[in-house]
Amino acid sequence: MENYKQIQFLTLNYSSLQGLRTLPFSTLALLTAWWVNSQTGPARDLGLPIIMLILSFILYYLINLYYNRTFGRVQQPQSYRWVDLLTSVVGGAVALAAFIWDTSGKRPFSAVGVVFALTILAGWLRIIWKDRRPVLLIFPILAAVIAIISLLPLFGLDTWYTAIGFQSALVAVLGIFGVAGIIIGIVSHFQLLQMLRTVRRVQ
Amino acid sequence: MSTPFEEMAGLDRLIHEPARMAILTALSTAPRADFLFLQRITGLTPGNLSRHVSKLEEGGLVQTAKGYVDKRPNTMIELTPAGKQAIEAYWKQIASLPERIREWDRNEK
Repeated sequence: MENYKQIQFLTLNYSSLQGLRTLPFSTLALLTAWWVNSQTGPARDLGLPIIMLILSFILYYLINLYYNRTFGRVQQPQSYRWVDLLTSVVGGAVALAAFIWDTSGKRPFSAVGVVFALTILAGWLRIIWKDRRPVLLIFPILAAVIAIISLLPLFGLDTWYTAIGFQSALVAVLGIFGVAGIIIGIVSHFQLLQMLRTVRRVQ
Repeated sequence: MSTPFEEMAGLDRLIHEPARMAILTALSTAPRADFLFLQRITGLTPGNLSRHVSKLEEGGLVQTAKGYVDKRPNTMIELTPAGKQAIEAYWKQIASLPERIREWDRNEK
């Protein structure tokens, strides 16, 4: 019975568990943070970020192809597709608002960081929504880490980002979000492989 | 009234087979999935999976649609309305068995 529950879990979350898909844009976030941090003065050559963006799209396409050709395709239920669309639209709008709020003055905490943390948490809740199994706990752990880091200025640690070599909190949060995305992506991929092994072994 | 053991013996043989159960369970969760996905979750060889899918198709529980994705042949498989009903009825029957066995045990004593 448990094996069939695992099959249902796998089928429902097949695309979410294909974690390598997150690598290109998480790496882009990390490299963008590194690039912004390395810039001095007003004149900035945008050539490198544009190349990184193009490479991210190409890499995403190739990873997508790898998953489709190696693991097959599953159509998500309509309700899940709506939730994904809604999360993307609302999440994008809130992230933009948080970015504007963060950059329009000195703030007591990083709103972008809080939105990033909530995005990761929402991704995890979507996975465990129907079948409350304790998997991929790295999601809530990293969400908590990002949330705590974002709120550090409230506890008097205004310049926490200098300790890790960044010039601003926003760029540091972007870099940390990139690292979190890479970790989550790799862990999710291994979770997918492990679950596939388990369901096949039991049959 | 039948005993739980007679009920077990009467389970739909077309469904009551591990590989076909796995296929039907996956297809009852998602609207449709392709052949490769079913191969990954069942661990069956393409030939074996094809035989199981054909049996389910002959039984009217699934339907297949052959096409091309990225210039490669691709077979999408989905449950038919009869397949949905059959798998739901099967799960209900399976879920009720432990209680039926306890009931039978009490009556026997």
